Amino acid sequence: MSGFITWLERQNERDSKVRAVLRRSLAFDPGQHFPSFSYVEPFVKNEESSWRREMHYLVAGLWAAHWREGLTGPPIMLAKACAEHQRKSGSTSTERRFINLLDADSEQLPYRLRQMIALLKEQTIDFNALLKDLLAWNHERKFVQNAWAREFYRTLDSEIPDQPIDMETAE
Amino acid sequence: MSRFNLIDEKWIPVRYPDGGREELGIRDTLLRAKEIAVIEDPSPLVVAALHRFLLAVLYRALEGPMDIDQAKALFRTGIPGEKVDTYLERWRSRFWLFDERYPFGQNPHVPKDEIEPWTKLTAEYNATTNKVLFDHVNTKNLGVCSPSECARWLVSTMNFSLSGGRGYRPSPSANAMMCIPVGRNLHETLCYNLVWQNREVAKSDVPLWEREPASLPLVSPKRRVSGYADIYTWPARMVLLEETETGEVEIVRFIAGYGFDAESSYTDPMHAYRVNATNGRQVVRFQENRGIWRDFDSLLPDADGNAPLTIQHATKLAGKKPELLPRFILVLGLKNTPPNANVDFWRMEQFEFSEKLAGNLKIREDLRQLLDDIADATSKVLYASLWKFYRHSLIREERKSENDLRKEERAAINKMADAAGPLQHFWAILESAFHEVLHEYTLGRDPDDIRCQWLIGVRNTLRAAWAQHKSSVSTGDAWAIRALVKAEGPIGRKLKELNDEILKYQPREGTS
Repeated sequence: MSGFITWLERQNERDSKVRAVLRRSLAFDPGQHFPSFSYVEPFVKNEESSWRREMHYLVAGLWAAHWREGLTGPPIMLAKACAEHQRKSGSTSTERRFINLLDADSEQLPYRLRQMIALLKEQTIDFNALLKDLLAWNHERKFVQNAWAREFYRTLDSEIPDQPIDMETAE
Repeated sequence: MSRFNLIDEKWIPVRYPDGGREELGIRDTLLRAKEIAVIEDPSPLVVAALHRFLLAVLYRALEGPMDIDQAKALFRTGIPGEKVDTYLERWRSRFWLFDERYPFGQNPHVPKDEIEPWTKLTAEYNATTNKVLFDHVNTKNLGVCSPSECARWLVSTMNFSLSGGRGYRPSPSANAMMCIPVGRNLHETLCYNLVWQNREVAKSDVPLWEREPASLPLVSPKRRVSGYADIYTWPARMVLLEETETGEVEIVRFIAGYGFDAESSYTDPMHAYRVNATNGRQVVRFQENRGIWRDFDSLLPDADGNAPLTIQHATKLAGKKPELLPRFILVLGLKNTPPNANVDFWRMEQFEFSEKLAGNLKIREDLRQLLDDIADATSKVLYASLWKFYRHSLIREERKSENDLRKEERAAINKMADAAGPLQHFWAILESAFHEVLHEYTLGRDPDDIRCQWLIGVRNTLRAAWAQHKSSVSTGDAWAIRALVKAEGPIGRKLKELNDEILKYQPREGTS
């Protein structure tokens, strides 16, 4: 999984059409845009889960839409990037979009993610981590949503603990 | 015609060591006290009131005790039956439940038009003004009450009458915890609780049946407390039972009685006290959502005499013989919220009592620290986090400060936080841990080890309570998740603080 973005970066170096094709794939349901098959399918050819396939296609499209020449800096978690954006903009609309994103079901997720990534064009996003989180998005315990919320609010308020309370031990 | 004399008629419910139950009169109860295990009744208020009534009889019959030596002699040799008999015979005419001149515990001058149902005598049943949840008495068709029941309720009104409208004033000690050390038999129990009074006080300490019935209406509706027998038989209400043809009671005449003069300086021997930084010495009362065990430290002897006099007295009677200490302490009574006349609740619990707890004056302070400084302080943090959670759940927009919350918003948040399950969960778990702590003290374990054990228990309980809350919320919508994350800060800090404290007591690995 962690090699997926590296795989896309390498393809991008070899073929200038990669990003354009993957960007266009966002207009379709994930995994339904045939021209993007050649760039993603080799990575998911043995994947049986339809959700896992769709999330690979979605992240590929988002990576392509977000890519900027000269965008440097260590990649950061999406939630942290949202919080940084909120802090810089001074507007609470980012928080509302973020909450909306957390509440997204599997059908709403691609659209809301696209909207959010479009806001964060000045920040380097960790797409490997994003893919990993999206693969667990539908877990009934909502681990990903809880972790994103913690990351978001901790970035805005350092008094919020960085670990869930029940993970702490002293013995 | 005079009927139902409480000296001989059966009305005091007792249990014997073999489990058998019976009702006895005053005489048999006192003279056979060594054969009786306990006084037992479904109503905690009746149990407390009967003990207090019997003590009042003893104070007058024995004309003492007036110092600790007399008290010890009584404890060793038993209640002198002859003195009790002589006293009861002298005052026999005042113990008829139905009598034209001196009906027991009543006033023959109460006007005929001041009629109430018999349930007015009790806190536990519905009556015209006080309403009790889950009581199925039909106030339009009450049925009748037997003389023995009426007698029990009469002594209960002496101790547990509450304030209300129309000049109704409370009994002196109605709204506080009463602590009754209990021995191997009723004789020991009565001796533990028969706290001595000095000669001057004892002389003027007159119970209700030795006074002339007051003329009505009362000229001075308040008077001073004269001693323990007086407190235990206080005429907070003027009552006259109306006997039916079948010898039972359906209605009573009922009006306000004496209030006690607030200038009276008295200490109820059964009350516990705490010293509060702001208000000084305060009697310990029941509180809603707070088990008695959380005030257990107030029962224990300390250097300042804040423990109930009954417990201090019992400890002195036992002296250096732990086998003579009380078997347990009964803590009982009611809570109401003045000036509301309704009872919020009544309770009765018992706590074991050991030599180690009684003999070490430092343990009271140790327990106070465990209960107040550690457990209570931690519960406040849990409450604060729950409050924050509900605040962010109900009100999604940020405000400049929490003071910007409107009154109705704050009230709604308070209501939700007060009813939150995790707080009740926290105290429920800690209660059993506390009883383990008491047991550890009984075994003579090192106080530092006990404190460390308690800290670990409180920390784990806080963690479990918050985890319980989190598991019910974290699968909810994003706003709930947001509120949860925003509320966690104080919990994290408190856990760290408890962990740091625990580490001070736990030896580092690898060091000798």
